[in-house]
Formats: sequence, structure tokens, C-alpha cells
Amino acid sequence: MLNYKPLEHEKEKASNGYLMSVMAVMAGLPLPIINLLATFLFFILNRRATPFVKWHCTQALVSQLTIFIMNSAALTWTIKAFTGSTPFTDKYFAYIIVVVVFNIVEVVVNISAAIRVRKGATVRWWFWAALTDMLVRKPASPYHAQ
Amino acid sequence: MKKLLFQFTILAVVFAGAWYTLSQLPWSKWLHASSFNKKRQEKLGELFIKTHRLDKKEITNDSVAFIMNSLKNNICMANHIDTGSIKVYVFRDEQVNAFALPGGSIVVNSSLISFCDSPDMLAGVIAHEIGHIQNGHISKRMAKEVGLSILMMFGGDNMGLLKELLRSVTSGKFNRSQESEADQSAVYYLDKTNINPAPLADFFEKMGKTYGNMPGMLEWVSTHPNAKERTSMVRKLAKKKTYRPALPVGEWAYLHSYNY
Repeated sequence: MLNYKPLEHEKEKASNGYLMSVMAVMAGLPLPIINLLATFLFFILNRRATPFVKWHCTQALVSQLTIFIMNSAALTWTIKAFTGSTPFTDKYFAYIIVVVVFNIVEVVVNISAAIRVRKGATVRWWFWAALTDMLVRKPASPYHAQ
Repeated sequence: MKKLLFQFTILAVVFAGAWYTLSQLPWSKWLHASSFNKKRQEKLGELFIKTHRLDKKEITNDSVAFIMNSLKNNICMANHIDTGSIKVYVFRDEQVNAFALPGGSIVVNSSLISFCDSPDMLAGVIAHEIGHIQNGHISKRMAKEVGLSILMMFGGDNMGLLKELLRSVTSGKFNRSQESEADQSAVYYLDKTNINPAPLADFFEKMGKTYGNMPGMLEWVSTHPNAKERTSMVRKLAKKKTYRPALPVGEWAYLHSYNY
């Protein structure tokens, strides 16, 4: 599986996929759709790239999708609470804290992934890597047994 | 696939566990969330009134304010609604309209007062707006409108956003079930205040006859239940009994003939 040696330009492109996610998260707040759109755009631009690049772009995209769902719910709930449609509850504040923590973790692991992938290291995230393996079919994935 | 499901389950458990654990802490008490919510609503309402004042002239005549307040207070007191929680403003405007704002403010246009044939009719409209406030329709609509308008925030035109929100709030975009609910509440409030609810039905009938076929009213017609439908529903709910007039003759004559 992990014997694949990416070329220099592949490392750079794959690393950029994660950096794009970080930039988009920062630019997209508080609108969660921005980061998903930016990552999706990067994914589309690299859909004909090498398996290594494609795999990492997909992993960045699916992790963004999760954050997008969590942030969308947080935004909707916040709008409802601020306009008085629903009250501010303990559950609301707890949810916002959890979402903020997940967002911070997302930014940190994305930066870390960008650095490590640039150096040619293997970066496989819990759950998202398995999901990416399923989405990126065998011949295209560098992380499937050859 | 099994591995994927297992990892997803672990992730979901971590998320739900963290959320559940944190939600056991009294965050809303620590952050004084309930008073913040009320204050926020009031401030939002005040902001809307300030913005509305930029375009329309507020009628600040003391007698007009006194009469309008006594009408509103009578309805509130008879229905155990805090009179201080609802404020009535009169603005000079040619459009026959009244609308409720966040924080419990009701704006009545001068043309609506002139359009009403009796104080009971005006009381019916005010009771209908109180119905919207008490049923939480304003905040529900605000949530929807803010959600739709939030993209505009990125243009940096906050005043434009505020005006757009105000335009949307004043255009009467409640859904049909909310309008029906406010009508039913109005009939209940009026009956409790010993004011005849039937003139509210007359108001809808008159609105339908006067403006029903105007192109500009198409939106109003699409979001409001049919005038005939509302008229018959209010008439059905109104009890056949003797009511007292909503305002003394002299007060109504002053309000109705005031040069807005």
C-alpha cells in the first residue's frame, strides 16, 4: 500500500489541497458554504491529477463536508437564537463549543497534513481516510494494495 | 465498509458525548442568556423603528399616542399581557398597513386609521398584530429573513441590509397558517376585552374589495388567506353578544379625523 513515492509536483499539489481547506475555513467563517465550495473547486480542478493528488484532495473535501454540515447547523441555530425564534439553551452553547473545537482541530490537522504531505509523508485521518479509500476507486488510489 | 462504519460510530460517539457532557453545564445561566435574548429583541425592534423614521414621519402627537395606547392597553390587560411589552407607533404612510416588529413593537400607518370605519375595526387590527407577537411569528420570520439576507452582509452595506430586512418584515410575509392563527388570537383577545370581533371581518372584506384586484397586492393575496375565507372564519368565531365600543366616541372622532 504505502510504497508509492510521489513526485515533487504531486507533493506540492496534494499539500495545496489541505492549505486550500485552511484558507477557505478562515475566509469562509461564518458562512460555512465558502470553505466547502473552495475545496470542491480545488477538487474539481485536480480531478484529472495523479492518484496521489486526487486521493489527498478527496480526503480534504470529505473532511470539509463534515465540518460544513456541523457549521451549517451551528449557523442556523445561531440565527434562530439571535432572532428569538428559539431560546439560547445549554444545549446550544455546548454545541457551539464542540463545533468551535472541531473547527480548530480541523485547521490544525490540515496545516499539519499540508506540511507532512509536502515532505512526502503519508497522512491518513481517522474515518475520512477510509471514506476516501471507498470514494477513490482502486486503480486511482495510491493507498490500495497493488 | 465495516471499518468505515466502526470509525464513524466512534467519531459520532465522541461528538455526541462531548456535546452531552458540555450541555450539562448551566451555560445559559452563566451567560445571562434569557435576559440577553429579550434585550436583543427590544434593541432590534428599536433599530427597525429608527430605520423606519429615516423614510417615514412618525406621528408624535400626544393625544394620538394616548388613544392608541389606551386601545392597546385595554386589549393587553384583559388578556394578561404585559402592557409594557408592547409599544404602538403611528407613522404617516399612504399604504393601508400595520405590522409587528421584534421586541413587541407595532407600527400602524396613518392611512390604516383613516381606512377603518370604527374603533372596533382598528382594535381588531391591533389585536391581530398582538396575535402575531404573542404567537412568536415575528421571531420565526426574522430567523428566515436573516438567514436569507446573511449573504448580503458580505457586501458591507449594513444599512442596506437593515432596510431590506425592514422592507421584508413590513411586507406582511407571514404564511397562511400564521395569519389564521393571528386572526383566531385576535378574535379571542377582542372577546375577552369585550370588543366586538366582527368588525375585523369587515376590515378584511373591505381590504379585499378595495385592494384585492390591484397588481401590487398580488403578493399580499398569495401569502394571506383569502379575504372571504378570513371574513367567514372571524364571523364564525365571533360571539353573538353585546359588546362595548373599543373607544369613546370623542376619542375615535379625534383619531379618525386627525390631520396626519
